[in-house]
Amino acid sequence: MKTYPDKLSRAQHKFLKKLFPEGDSGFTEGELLSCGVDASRKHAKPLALVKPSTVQQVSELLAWAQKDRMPIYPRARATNKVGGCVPVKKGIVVSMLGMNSILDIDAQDFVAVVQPGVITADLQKAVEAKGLFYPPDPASQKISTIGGNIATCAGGMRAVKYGVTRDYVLGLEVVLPGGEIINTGGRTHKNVVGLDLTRLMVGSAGTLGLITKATLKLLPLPETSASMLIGFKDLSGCLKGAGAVFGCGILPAAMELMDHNTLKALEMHSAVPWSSDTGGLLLLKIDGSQESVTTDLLQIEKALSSVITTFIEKGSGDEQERLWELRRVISPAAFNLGPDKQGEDVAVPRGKVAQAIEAYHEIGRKHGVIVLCFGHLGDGNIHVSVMYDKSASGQSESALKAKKEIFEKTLALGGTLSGEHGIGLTKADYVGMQLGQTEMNLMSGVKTVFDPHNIMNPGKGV
Amino acid sequence: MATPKACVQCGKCLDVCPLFKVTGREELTPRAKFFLDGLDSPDGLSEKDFKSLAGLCLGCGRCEENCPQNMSGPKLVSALRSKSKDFKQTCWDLWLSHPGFIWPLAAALSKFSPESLPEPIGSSKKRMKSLFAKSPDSWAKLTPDLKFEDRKALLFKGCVGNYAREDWAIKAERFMDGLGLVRAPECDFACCGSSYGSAGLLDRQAKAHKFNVDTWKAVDCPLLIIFCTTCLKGLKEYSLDDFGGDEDLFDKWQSSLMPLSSLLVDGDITILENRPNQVIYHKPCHAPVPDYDLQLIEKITEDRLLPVQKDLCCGFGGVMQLGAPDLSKQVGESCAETLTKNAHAGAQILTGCSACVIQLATHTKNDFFTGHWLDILE
Repeated sequence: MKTYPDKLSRAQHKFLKKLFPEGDSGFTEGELLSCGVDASRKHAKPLALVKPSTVQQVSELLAWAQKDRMPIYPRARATNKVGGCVPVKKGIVVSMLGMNSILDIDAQDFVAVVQPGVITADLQKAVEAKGLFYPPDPASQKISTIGGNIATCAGGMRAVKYGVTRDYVLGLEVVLPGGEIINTGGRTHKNVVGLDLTRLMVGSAGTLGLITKATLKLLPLPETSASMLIGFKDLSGCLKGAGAVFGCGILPAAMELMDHNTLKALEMHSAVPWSSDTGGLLLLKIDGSQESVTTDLLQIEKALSSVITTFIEKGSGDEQERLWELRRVISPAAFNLGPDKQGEDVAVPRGKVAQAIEAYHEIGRKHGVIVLCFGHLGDGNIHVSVMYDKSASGQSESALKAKKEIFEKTLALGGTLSGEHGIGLTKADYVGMQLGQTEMNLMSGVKTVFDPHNIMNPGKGV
Repeated sequence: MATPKACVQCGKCLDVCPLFKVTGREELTPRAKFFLDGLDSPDGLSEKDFKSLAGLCLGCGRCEENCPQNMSGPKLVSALRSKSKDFKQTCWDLWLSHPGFIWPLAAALSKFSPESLPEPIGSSKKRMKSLFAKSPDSWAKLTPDLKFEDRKALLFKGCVGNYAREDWAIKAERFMDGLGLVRAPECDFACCGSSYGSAGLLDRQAKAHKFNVDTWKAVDCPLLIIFCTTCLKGLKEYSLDDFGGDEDLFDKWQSSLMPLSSLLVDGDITILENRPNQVIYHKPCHAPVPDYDLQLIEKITEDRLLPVQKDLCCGFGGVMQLGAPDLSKQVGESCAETLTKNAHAGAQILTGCSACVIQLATHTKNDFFTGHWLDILE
């Protein structure tokens, strides 16, 4: 078992103070505790907090950390849900929030070059002002950063049509443990020289190196978009509706599902537009030219006339954001159904979604916990939230049992434990359920090549 | 299943917290405050350290509006401050309770305070000058639409209107006359209570509420006309308890609160030649919905109003002026700089909150005038 420093020596403290002067390093209890927690609500206290503003500072830091075997925990807005930012082995939390410049937006090359602390929605706004489009849209896009999105390979609602973060990362500047700065990929949209280190970095959750710059692929901004919120009596109605939409030959930019418990949580959170006989919802978005969106909408409405709906609301332009805000607040609104949450983001092959959701609800009933299913129906990535009350006797155990059974069912259906949130702390114990020993050994070997002393985000699964 | 509201550490408040946006310090965010509040000893901070860190809040209330769990940073901080009062709160109490005596005295003393001294002394000269400032030449003549016949009303002047900027109050009362309102017998109100509340001076706040309700009742519950956004917020926050549980009276109070700008927005406006080329509207954190101050300013300024930036806090922060004046200054300077980024010398910053006026006038370069919209109306 590796051991890491338990406290900073005087020399280490002095080194950090010198490299990160004035307000750029923190050692007080308040600073350390506050930067040791993330949206998983797990927490630990690091030995120091530093806030670099240049890649040279990061390089010097990682050279020192390698030498002193000091754990490094990259962090930005800490919105991840799996404990990816929690400094479980103490060490140094490196807040990338200060490196937050958009360095270049190039309409000829269709690329943007950004520092990791840029808020994703800010980048989207900036590229859209130039008629360009950065599609990945995790629900946290207004509050999470590009660096965090890359480290976790964040997905989002538009993944069904546009793919996920990894599909838009063309190149990266990464500082390796030891301080060496590498550049992977580049500005070209195609590149097959060498192994794909860019893709290896994306989703590696800060365990291989620290991302300091990213070159991202952009698309032309679709002229317009429109959204439709469709209510159904129950889950099977939703799935029939989704089938009808895909059946008419249209690929929506997003296709989201909300089950009856999700609706309940939202109803408790704020005013909702659907009628009381609604037990499931589909929320979809189509984009393209004004003409094609109008035609697609008509075609979808026609397709939906073959299934029974309880409610339909359409929106276009800024007004459709109202509908999408409902989707974005599900995660926090779920706490209306229980004070504690165990959130999973399994994915199953698209044809298995109905079977999976029915099985997850059955698991909830069996263990006496509330299961909410919502998420990206279009790509099979279902968010399964188990709501429970850990202060009530036996509920924590029930939630854990439910978690394991949800994973078993998912894998039995040919799915994966995580579609976009990652493994971190909360799922680290379950990775072996999905990956074989040989695959695990290979991954461990890759990790050792990059980070021989395991100083990058130690204590986490990827 | 019990479902008490709790912070879920989602991070949505980081997007709106002005202290975090300006300083980048995570420990100042509402998320950190709720996290630290929930830690049990020995994992957490000592009570003293927690209170001094968690007390750093500007009270803007943006976090609560943005929070899916409706958690309010200012409410947590007010409760904390109320539990253990310190010297700064005593000073703030004095400042709010005896403005007629203390404010002119502070203004006189501030003339001798060098700018090189640390905050809050360093900027006190400019701050007190801003508090007792004079209006520039007016550039818009407003004739209110006659709306009322025989309706009694009283002006709620607020502390600044009462003790420093009587000229605002005089103008406001002239507009009330023009609206056809009949002035109820003159009477003095206490502070609206908002600033006491955020400072954790809850006894003082309750007393101010009671005094104001009694005063209003004594003159037969007239309309209350308000020209300060924060006073409006403070008066709207009175609870049923402040009315001894009398729901009718409480409803009457709520419906009697009337922002002056809402009554002026459809008045006749004549623009004078000296209208500045650029006007900037600072939207106060406590601006009501709809924001009639903005509507009025849009009407007066027409195409000279620069795009309104709705997510800026001036950093005034009430007791933070004494508790963490450097942070207040840092946020104030950042706000002033952002507001004036695309403005030329001579542009005017207008707002509807007395505290924002003082804070921004203190931290804006002398190239720009900062004032209440009443300042520029004739």
